[in-house]
Amino acid sequence: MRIVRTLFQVGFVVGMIVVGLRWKFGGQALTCETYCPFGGLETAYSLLTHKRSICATSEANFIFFLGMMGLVLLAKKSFCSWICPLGSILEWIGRVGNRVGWVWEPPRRMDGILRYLRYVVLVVILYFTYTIGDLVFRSYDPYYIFYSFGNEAVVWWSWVLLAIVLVSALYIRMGWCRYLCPLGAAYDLFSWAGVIKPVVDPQVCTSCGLCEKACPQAIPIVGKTRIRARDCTNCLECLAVCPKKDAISIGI
Amino acid sequence: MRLKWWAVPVVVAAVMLGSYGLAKTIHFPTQVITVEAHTPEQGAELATVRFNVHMLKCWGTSETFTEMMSQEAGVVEIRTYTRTNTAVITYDPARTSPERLAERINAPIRHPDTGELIKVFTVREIET
Repeated sequence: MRIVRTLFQVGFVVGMIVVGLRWKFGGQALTCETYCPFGGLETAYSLLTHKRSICATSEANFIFFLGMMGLVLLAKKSFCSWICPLGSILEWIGRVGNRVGWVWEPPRRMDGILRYLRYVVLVVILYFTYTIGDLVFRSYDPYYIFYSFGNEAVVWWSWVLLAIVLVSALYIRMGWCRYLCPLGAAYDLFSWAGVIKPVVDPQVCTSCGLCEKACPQAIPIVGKTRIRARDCTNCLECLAVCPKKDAISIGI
Repeated sequence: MRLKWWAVPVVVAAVMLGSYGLAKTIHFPTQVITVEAHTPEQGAELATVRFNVHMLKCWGTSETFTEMMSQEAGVVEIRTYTRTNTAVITYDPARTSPERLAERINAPIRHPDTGELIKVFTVREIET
């Protein structure tokens, strides 16, 4: 199952690199922004009130956003672990950090509080985007900086910000996704209701805790029967590491 | 109810492909501008030309483009599709031609603040 997910991730990362390079050097119309579901949320207000998109966004972004919201309702935040081309890179960097022993896990209480930061980021971005009517946070967006290969909105400090996000992934597993990602925050609205989720059989589970250690989102699993946590991305890491057959599976 | 693990990738792929297909199919124009002053009398034959225009990429450039082209004689309607860098222009063939419209698109325009002449758009393809 890890191979299948890695194939999905590599596919989307390579696809987005190709889109970025074709736009940058081949003059193609499609950019990394064309496929960004968050662009759909940013343009939603303008699209619904003024029947126009913000800047380089279009109805395609809105369709992707609605599609991904549908995916959240079906399979929680699977977008984050199977599709997101930024999340994939951060996860791979995190694995390197884990292997060399640099990863630090914040205390659970602190982690819980820090996770609310992304709602602040979401509200700030939407407020300024809706009032100014432009994609004013492009220069701060790691996805845009990385996959646009330095578009005009990308300035020198954008690269510094990107470097901080990438390097921090070596020390805090999925730090950007857990604490700052505004798209993840938007998905949270419906993630708890996601139909497909990991389920634990308490009769078989030995509470060894391997699943918790493997979870990139550091979600508490031991003692639960259904993983309703809003941060669960259905990455299946908990299933892959579980030594007991059928102790954790995917269920409704 | 328990499912096989591959239910997750199947759902992800299905939703992604569905969204991609919808996004490919549903294509609204960025702007539709009708130039009332250039609308010919009823019964007059109108023609349509499609341009692929480099730099027609966002709302701002679309506004610049439609403003520029609406001043061109014979232009009746301008539709822009920034996602594909496309402009569809309906015109009066008695007053203008695709070549003339392409010439206008390629011509430099005056910057509204500095007055400096700058080249913004370039026609990459014409489809009549």
